[in-house]
Amino acid sequence: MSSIATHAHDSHHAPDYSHDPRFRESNIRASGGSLSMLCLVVAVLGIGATVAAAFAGPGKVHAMASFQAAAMGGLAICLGGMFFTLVMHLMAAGWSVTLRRQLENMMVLAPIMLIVASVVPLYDLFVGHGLLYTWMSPEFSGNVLLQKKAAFLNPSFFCVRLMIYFTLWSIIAWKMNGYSVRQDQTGDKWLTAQARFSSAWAMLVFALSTAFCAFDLLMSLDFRFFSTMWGVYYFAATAFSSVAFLVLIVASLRRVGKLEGLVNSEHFHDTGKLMFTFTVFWAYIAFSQYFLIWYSNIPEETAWFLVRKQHGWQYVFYLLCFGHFIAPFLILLFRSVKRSYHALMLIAVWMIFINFTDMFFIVRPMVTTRDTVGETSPMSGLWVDFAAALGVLGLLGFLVIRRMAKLPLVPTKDPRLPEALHHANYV
Amino acid sequence: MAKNAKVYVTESGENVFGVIAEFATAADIYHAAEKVRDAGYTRWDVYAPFPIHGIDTAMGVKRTRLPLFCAACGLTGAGLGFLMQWWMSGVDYQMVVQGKPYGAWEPFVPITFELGILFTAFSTLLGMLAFNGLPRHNHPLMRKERFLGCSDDTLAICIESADDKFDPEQTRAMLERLGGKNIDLVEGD
Repeated sequence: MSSIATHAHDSHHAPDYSHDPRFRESNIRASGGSLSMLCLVVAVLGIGATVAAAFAGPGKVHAMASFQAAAMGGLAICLGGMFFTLVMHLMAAGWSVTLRRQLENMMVLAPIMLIVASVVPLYDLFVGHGLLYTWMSPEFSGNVLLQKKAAFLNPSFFCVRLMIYFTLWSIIAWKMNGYSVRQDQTGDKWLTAQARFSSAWAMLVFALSTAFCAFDLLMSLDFRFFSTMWGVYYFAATAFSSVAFLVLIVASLRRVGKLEGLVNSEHFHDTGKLMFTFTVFWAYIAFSQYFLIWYSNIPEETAWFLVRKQHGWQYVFYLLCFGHFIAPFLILLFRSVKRSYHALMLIAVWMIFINFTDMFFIVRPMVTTRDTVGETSPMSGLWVDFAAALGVLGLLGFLVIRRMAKLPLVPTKDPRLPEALHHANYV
Repeated sequence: MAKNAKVYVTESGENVFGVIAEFATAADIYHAAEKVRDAGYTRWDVYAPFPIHGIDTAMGVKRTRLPLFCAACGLTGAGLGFLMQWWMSGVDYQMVVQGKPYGAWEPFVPITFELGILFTAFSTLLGMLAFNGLPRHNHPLMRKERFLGCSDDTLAICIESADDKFDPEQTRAMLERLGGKNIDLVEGD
């Protein structure tokens, strides 16, 4: 409180924390050299194993599906970082300033993860000719449902859209990250106001581009299927997994003795509330989508769930009901859990796992909808899915840790820092 | 909470409710509350016309167990809601609706959810009232002219005679030591 009062007369500059021991270099700088190398090794091994699986045993379509599911899980984390960066600015949130840098680090990787998530669709478009994405296959070119959607689902527009997402996300990430980095250097508090202004249009762009990206990269896997809730469904995945990833990063930093006095149990309490929020939000979205499709019983829609409720996929469906909603819901209800970063860390690992499972549930059954069902068990070769998920997470971890090493772990001259440092939950 | 075995009575024959003391500032009453807490008193309260941040920690107030009660009621409501629908449309009066199976769980979810919310909402409100001993029509403190200032500009601590550690002389002396002003005996109940 006192720092607000002392600096109130200073019109252009944020409070000066340069001599505050909490902002000493050792507390707000991380190198993470060995861990980033470990992540790189995991990435190479995981992605390597997935590629190897394409040429042996499980087969090409299986490997493509595994990798696409994993890549969409990774992209979700980065897009969620973008969402939270924007929403924190829009809400003029003070409490989360000391967490924002990590959200920004996730955000700037969104364009890179889009490239990772575009590898399989573009390969399928130009080389595979619809091995996984059925609409790219010449086999279906005469299909009446596809012809109705051809104005949207055609190779050239598809590529253009991917480039549009890449451009828009690059602009948002570059602008939002730029404000933050420049403020660290100059301490100009009006950058916060500019960031808030930009967040308004960026949020609209983010919402639309994320929804359309989800249509292109996930919903179009089965061109017959459509759901008006699909964009929100993928958005729920982005917010859900990114807040878990944020907790994982920040709690890890706390464990190695960083961010002391900058992030405490009050901040974890609030991130825990966000984890709870998006657990419930996902359940609401997922159930609403499933319920309406189940009720209205329109063949193009129902077929999608019909595949996913037999041949062994129903166990994944039950796992999602329990592991994506019921279990985290009941556990996160407890205040003591939300205030303990050790407990939150475990839940965050689970949440990231279950979000990859969600993507797996969307993408992987496509392998059996194309093949004749019954030849091989659809649940065979799960190691490829684990390898792909670990590979993508390893890559993401490597990139995130490298970014973390470049900048201070928290914004050092944000005008709302005092609010974050005095943050307390009174209930 | 064990009721104090001793019952203190004034000269005029009225039961003693407790001892009240006024404090000048929020900081004073905050520190006094810490001392009263550390002295081991449990049945006492701080009265102020505005919220004082952190006063619950200074008083050593434990967190309410109301959420556990609400959760139990909420789960009961959700369970009953599900059972009711399952029994009605899956057992007692089976009817084909849109070709869906009897007792399919999907249509039960909204009403299960709503009954869960309904039970939680009612148990929260009623439980809060019950845990607080509300509604109550009168309170011995209301007879004190000076206490009415607690809705305007007075900060006061009242230690009740039902407290195990209560002693008319010693408690009064302690409040005096802590800087309490206008210390007075409260009669009634």
